[in-house]
Amino acid sequence: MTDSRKLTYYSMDEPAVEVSDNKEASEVPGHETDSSQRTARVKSGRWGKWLVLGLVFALSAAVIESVLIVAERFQQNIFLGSLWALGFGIIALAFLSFMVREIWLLQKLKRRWKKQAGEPKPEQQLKLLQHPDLEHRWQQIKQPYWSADEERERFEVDVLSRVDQQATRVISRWSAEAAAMVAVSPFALLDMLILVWRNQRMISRIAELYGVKLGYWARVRLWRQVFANIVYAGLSEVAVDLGAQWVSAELLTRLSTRAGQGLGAGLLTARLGYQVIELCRPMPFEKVKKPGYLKLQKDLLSQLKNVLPFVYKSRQAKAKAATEQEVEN
Amino acid sequence: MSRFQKLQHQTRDVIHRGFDRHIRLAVTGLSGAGKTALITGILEQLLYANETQQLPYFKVRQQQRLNGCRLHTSSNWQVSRFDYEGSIDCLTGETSKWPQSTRDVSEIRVEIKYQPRRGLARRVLDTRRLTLDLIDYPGEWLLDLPLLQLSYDQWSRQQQRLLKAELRHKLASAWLDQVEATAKVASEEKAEQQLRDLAVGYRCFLRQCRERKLLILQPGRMVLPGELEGAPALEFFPWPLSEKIPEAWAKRLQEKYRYYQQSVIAPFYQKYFKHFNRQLVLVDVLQALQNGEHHFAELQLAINELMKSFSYGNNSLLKRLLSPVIDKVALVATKADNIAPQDHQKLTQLLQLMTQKQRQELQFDQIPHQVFSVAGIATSQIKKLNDGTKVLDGVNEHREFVRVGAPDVPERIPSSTDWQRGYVYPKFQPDFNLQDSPLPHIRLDQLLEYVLGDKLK
Repeated sequence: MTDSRKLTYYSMDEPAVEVSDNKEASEVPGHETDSSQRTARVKSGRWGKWLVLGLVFALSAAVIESVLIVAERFQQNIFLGSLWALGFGIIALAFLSFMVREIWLLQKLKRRWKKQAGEPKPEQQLKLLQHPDLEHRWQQIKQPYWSADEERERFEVDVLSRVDQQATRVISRWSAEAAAMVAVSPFALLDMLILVWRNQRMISRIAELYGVKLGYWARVRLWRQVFANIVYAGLSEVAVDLGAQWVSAELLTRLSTRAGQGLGAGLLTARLGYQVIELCRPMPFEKVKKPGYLKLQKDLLSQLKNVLPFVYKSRQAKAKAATEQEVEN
Repeated sequence: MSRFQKLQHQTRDVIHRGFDRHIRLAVTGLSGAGKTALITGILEQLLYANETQQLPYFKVRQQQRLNGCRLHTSSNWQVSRFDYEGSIDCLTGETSKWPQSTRDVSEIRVEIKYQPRRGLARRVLDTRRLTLDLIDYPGEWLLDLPLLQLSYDQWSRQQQRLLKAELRHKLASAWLDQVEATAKVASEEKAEQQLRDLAVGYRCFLRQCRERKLLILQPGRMVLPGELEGAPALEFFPWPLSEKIPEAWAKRLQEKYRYYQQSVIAPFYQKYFKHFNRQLVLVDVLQALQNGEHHFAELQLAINELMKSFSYGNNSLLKRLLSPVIDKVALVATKADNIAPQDHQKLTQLLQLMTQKQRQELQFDQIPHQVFSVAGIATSQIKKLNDGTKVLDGVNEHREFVRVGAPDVPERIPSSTDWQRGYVYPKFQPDFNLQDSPLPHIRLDQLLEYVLGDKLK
């Protein structure tokens, strides 16, 4: 016969703490090992191995060569030799520290990506977000009886959605700016430069909102998108210019291709922004609707409208001049 | 109030119902399931909704579209008002205690004013109202509803089956002997008196059953007569023996039974239960676990019987006006504050298993339904000792502060070895004062969102 269940009573004097997951969050159970295992499992491509091998050879060759050079210089003159050694040393150190930092940042971002798939703890994520006001809000609404799923849902809806909101606002502002600038700028190279500059700034702003620091390699992932944007800007500028020559000026005044070009650039920038959000967000969109383009388009258009009269007017003036010339001829 | 005013009230009700702005919420539960506490909790949270952060799941509040809620007189003036203030006084008074068990029907109406966000209403109206009716009644009477569909013979057969159970048979033995003995001397002249005596015996048996916490006690008015105390309408009982009923009695018993059906249950059903369009089924799973296997089985049977006596379906306009049906059901495991939060999921799961059959039927009829574990008023706090054991802090019946280790909750219907070990749960008493308003709850916001949310968009 098994013993029957009984209630166990504890003395009230024994210290007991309110149950909150703060402590458990700081312990970070097994996340590190998990992510490293997963990265190990990621297969490098077929050519990756050879590439790495080649790189190792090249690198060791470079090291040996520089050592030889330094040694040679030492034979020539001890002063010259030590100068060379110092120079190489500093370069090597800088390179090493850069690599370490990049690897560390990339690891951090990767861990975040892993966490998107895994089971994130709200408190832990709050700390990563670095928003004291949201932390306060979370403390206010958090109920001790919530299960992990409920907590997750509430965290996304009540806390993370606010960060999303801020990020969308950033996107809409920066893409509108990019749109306006591209619309106004007179030649292709400037368009491209503007986009590089604006896109980079926007990426860091959004990443900052989510409490992520993006390293070089993390940006590389985004750079492909940035690059596409730039190409678009350059090509469209050229197309607009060519178009202006080929199509009659009168038609252009109606179409206002430049505004269209700006709008395109703005939309692409926004697309990049949304990708950054998805990359930096500690969990995927579940209960919150993904921010969409619909409202953004309106924002962009209204923003452009402010710039447009100027573009429009200058076009009109040019067109007028052109027609007058024709008449004179 | 004048007749005109009353007419005005009723007209408004009809209009509200037509526009689907009127929710009559059936709070269904056997006695002791926590109906009064839950209704009090719901009212408390609604009335204080704008002053608390406790309702993150209640969207209308979270989106700050809630103007407020107000208690309102019900249009049914024959029914006493649910004593919300009395319950709160009870809970927050000098010696804080649970409100007394309900002895009569009472009703309360809440008017919810909010800003619509969707549809035509948003363009036309600044604010919109939703009327919510809550009805409290003794749980004992609820089990009368299934009798409406049973003839006397069917009912007797059902009771005979129940009497075969060990505990019931033991409790009923004295009465059964009495029936057997009297049946031998049944005569036309003395029939009236004989039946009265046997009814008294049956009533004794029911009371004993109630003390032993058995649940299926029919007819409910015998346990809690209300205004029927001592009335001849209650002088009947199910025929418990396998022999035929003496001819002298048969007609009388059947007549009484039919009278009870038509004059006691039917009006009760017509008046309160017919117009519901949403339902909460409250089940005190923990109590049943603690009481053991028989009670648990009986509870399952009781829920099954109960849910048969409500009609479910989708409400079209005509149906809403003439005879609404229940179009959404929440199955609620109450008193979740007596276990640790991480076991709430298990409690929900257990109730899911207990109501599997009913849920399948609801599923078949495409009636939305969901299972919750809830505490209308939460009386315990979860804490953690240094060695990691989870404990619940609360106040026991003797008004002492106690710290109880989080009790076991089974994940599935317990097996016989589990039953041998038994289950035991703490029973915390409320310990509040006036400053504690709004009183804490567990998961009421999710329940409110589920039941009301779609009408508050």
